[in-house]
Amino acid sequence: MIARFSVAMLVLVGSARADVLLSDNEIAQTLAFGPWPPQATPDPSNRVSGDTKAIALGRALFDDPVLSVDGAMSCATCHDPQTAFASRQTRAMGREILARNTPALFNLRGLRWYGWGGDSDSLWAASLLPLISDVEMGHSAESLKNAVRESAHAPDYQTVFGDLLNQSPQTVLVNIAKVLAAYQETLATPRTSFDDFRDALERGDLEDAGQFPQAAQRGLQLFLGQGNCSFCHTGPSFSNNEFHDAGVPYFLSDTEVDPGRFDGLKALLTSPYTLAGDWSDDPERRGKWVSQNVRQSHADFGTFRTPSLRGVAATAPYMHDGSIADLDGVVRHYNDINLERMHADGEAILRPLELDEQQISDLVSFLETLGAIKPFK
Amino acid sequence: MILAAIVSLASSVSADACSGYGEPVVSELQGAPDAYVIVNDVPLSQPFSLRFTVCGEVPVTGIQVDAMMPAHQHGMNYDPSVTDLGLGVFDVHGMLFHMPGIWEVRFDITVGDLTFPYIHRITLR
Repeated sequence: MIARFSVAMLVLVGSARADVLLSDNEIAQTLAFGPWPPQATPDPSNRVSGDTKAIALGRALFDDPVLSVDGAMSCATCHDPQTAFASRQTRAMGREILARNTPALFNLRGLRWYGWGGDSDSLWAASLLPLISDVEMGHSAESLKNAVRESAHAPDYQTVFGDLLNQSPQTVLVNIAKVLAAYQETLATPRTSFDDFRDALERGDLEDAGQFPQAAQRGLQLFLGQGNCSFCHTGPSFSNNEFHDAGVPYFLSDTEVDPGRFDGLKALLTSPYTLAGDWSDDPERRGKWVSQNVRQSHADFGTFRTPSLRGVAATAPYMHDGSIADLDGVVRHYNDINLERMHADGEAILRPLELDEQQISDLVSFLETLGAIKPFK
Repeated sequence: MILAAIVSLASSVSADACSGYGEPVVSELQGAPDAYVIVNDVPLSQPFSLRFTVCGEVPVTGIQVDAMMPAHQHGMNYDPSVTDLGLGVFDVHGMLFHMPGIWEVRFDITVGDLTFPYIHRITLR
């Protein structure tokens, strides 16, 4: 009886193992994409990070056109909660057509860099720059202070930060950016079927893991192997948060280019709004090493930050300029990548993948398991 | 491409510091002093530190440290910093490997008019 039971168990385990297509090495690699969600810790450079009143104020301001100089737009105009806090437009529409696609605003807590070009090393700094950009919200620090003072948000501002009238316009500007950051820190993608698969692998539950669709498993194998995706899309957020040339043209027109990281670093290194600067609330200035030790290189030209793939199915169009309409197109872009578009002396990572139609479909299936995000109210 | 953290080591005179010093590091140059490296943990995309030790009483007057991925033809995106602990021992902080794969850490030490290069390979999963 015991022998029969053991045989039955072996058959069951063998069957479950057969439903998991990944090798032991691929399973080990897969575990590095979790657990999810990560532990949330407050941003020490933002004294209102995690503060419920600040989060509420940030949320209200995010939706309010008072943050644009003429009341023409709010943060949510481009970062639309109904479309994963991104935009369906190819390139963002500010006061003119901007250079880049509107990025989604999920899982932004604690990153090393923000923005396609990495202009900022904190979420509050990244939230500040659009407020005073001539082609976005268009405020000056002075006009923003006046607008907030005259708005219905003034009492809530004073509850969080004290007497607005006695604060300098620069202080008000940074404070507004910090409540916007506090709100955005709360925007996180939920667990997905991939996370259930990954956690089942971690606890050795192959029967449960075997429920993950076979096409998505084959796609994951390609993601880890032939697709070369996991060189840059690493860790629980599926991004190394560094900058790469993805072979997308950086010409904006016949006469204009988007320098990407090259200009991002120049902006960062002349900005007063960094973790090394006086506007950080962290007396220890944790994170200042980033701007102090980062290297500048001519190879930064035309490189852009690796986006997270969490919720990627909901954030079309893709790439820094929104030039690819869907995930199928993204995979085909890398499959047929034109190496002549790449830096001649840049990193040598990408090459045509030589995936067939079934493999392209499988890789897309895997990416879709990373989550489609429901609209936020 | 090889930028590096450079420290002034004008008065640094190495003594025999080679006890409990980690793995030997290879130099392609004959006559290079024995050297060792200790790397405890290399997290992906996060800064880490290592210790480099030059054995024997060798008067090291300079050191440069960098790393690259030969297969990808790129290096690190951040400059590490080097602290001279004396007796031929150097702590290197702010190393950051932003991709999995094989990395080569290169140490160039200056002894008098000579520069000795050392390579230490790390495979990051």
